[in-house]
Amino acid sequence: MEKGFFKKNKVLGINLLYILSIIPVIIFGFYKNGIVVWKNGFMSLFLATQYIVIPVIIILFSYVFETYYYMGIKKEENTNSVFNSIVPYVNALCYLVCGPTNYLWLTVPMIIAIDVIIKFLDNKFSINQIALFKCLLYVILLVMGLTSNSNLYESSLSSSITDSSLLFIGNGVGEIGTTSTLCALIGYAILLFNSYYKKDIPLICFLGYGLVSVVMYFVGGITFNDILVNTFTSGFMFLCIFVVSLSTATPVVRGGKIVYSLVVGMLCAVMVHALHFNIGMYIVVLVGSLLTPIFNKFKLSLD
Amino acid sequence: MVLELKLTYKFDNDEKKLEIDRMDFLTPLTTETYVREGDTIYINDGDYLYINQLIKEAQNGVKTYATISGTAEISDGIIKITNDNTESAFVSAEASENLDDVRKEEILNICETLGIDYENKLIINKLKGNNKLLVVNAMDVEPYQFNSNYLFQDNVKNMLDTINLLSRRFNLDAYLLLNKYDDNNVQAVNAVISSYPDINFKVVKDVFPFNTNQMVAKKMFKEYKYEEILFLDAFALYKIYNAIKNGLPVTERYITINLGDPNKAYVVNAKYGANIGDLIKATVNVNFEERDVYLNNFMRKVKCDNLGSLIVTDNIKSIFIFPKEENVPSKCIKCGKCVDICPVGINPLAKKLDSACIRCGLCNYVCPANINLISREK
Repeated sequence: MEKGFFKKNKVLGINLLYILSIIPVIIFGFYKNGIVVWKNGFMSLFLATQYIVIPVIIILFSYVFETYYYMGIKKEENTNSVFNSIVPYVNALCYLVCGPTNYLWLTVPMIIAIDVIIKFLDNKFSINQIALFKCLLYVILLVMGLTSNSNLYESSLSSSITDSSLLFIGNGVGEIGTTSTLCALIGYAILLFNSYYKKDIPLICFLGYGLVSVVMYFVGGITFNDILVNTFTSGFMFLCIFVVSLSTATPVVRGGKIVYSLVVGMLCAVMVHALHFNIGMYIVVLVGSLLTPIFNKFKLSLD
Repeated sequence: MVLELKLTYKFDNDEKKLEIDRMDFLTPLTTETYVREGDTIYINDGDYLYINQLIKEAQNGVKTYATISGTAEISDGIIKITNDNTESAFVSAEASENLDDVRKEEILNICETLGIDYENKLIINKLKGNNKLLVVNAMDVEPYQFNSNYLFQDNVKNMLDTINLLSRRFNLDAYLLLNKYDDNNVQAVNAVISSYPDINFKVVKDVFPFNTNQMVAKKMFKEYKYEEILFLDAFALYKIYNAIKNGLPVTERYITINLGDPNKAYVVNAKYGANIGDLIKATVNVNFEERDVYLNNFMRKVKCDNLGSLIVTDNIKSIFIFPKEENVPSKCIKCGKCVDICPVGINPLAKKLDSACIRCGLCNYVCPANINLISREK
């Protein structure tokens, strides 16, 4: 096709850019949970490499399974649809919200199992139902990460760091990929090159979060340092940039995006500052995704 | 005066680099159409046909009508209509030397006699309607189309005289809209507009689809209902002018042909009834059977498969001939670009297409997954 008229299918490029955006958090997760722990003698180098190997396995497996599903089960001849899937990116996100654990290898079969269930129901349910199952996976993995044997090295650090600047970089305790706000922001900068990424959703979500945080500062009696520490240790920035803005599970109309982002941001702030229930943020996102058809009715005209 | 409209989509082609070839394809007054397998033929060899008479119907329901009157000859899979006497091919009406002498009843009579039509409706019905405003939208509203541009350029004074006449005889406020980037026509009109005090001249940015009648009515003439505005384009105006001045219907029209380069176009003056396949081969010399062909607004993604049996009619304004390419649609990623760009503010992703959809095709154009969003029922 000559330049200037019809554009080629861009979905593959869009999805590759999504995967590229989570590379900083994957690398930092490998460094913090693998390299640092190995250097301090709490883990062998072989086990430390799982933090970089497993996300690669998850992404590759997702593509292989998508191929089998579309070509083997759905009998679609065109393989383009395989590489146009956002599922590998979503599965990698699921891995990143898992807590550091000695049973990290369990995440792979869990993600496989959930993916199989979703594909089984694919023909019968709308995309928001798929978002539901993905969010359920996040919750399961988070709970699994918390209840299993935690990282012994991190246990020794858990309550010693309150410096918000160190926590911003990611020196605190948390899930594999959510502790570094800096890496999440680098990921956001990469996603800005993706013109199909809903970049306004994280901004409005952060605005809603900030509004409630300010209210709690004046009324709730928490200090500014508490707000920063809570924000950087709860994984909110990771959630805000990568999970809340997941295009397949968010509203498409302007008004709906604004309402959805504000509500999710404000409720996340309540979960983090008032209830200290970080998993609650994922439940908020889950409910928000389910209500997307309702949010899509909020039209906002700027004419 | 420049009127700014909300910017929705500005196409990439740089107007200054645009290269347009103009040419004529004035076939003799014969019509040929091919008979394909499965066609139902309603005439016999030797029959005398009248203009607009049904000739045949294809298996897919496409019907072919006679665009001229004449004798039918059927042989070797081709139906041909021949007429040596050009005057008998149309109905003629009494012409007027001076437009200023024409009365309202004469205008209506001429339009009715010659069956002047616009947007598939008789113009006389529109002229007789409850109009409060006359708007001549002389812009090419479809993207990458230049027909109105050249038609107006060739007939500036005639167009203005006709607008003036209609405005006075039908007692309507008259507006003339031209594209801001249409330097030739804008300058030409500016030079003489002071002689036409009854015509309001407005220059509009070339932003698709805000140059369509519906959007112009919505943005520029909000105080009027759409039904109260008499919209005419350059071609309709020229038809009225030709009817009054020469007593004859228009038998040719401009067609824009584009091979996929936004900076290069061919504007062909073709006779009604000309075979489009012949027209393409004569003007751009490509084998359209090996390419994807789209008629009029290519963004609607309506491919034309039977170009070889189509003839030039009022409905064919532009032909896009692109290399064949497999652009398979993938699953919607709910990016929302189609919602953002929709000029009428509807959600193209809704299960059923909103009745407000104007089928501009912008949602198709911006979709990264190549989904045809407007092919559904409203």
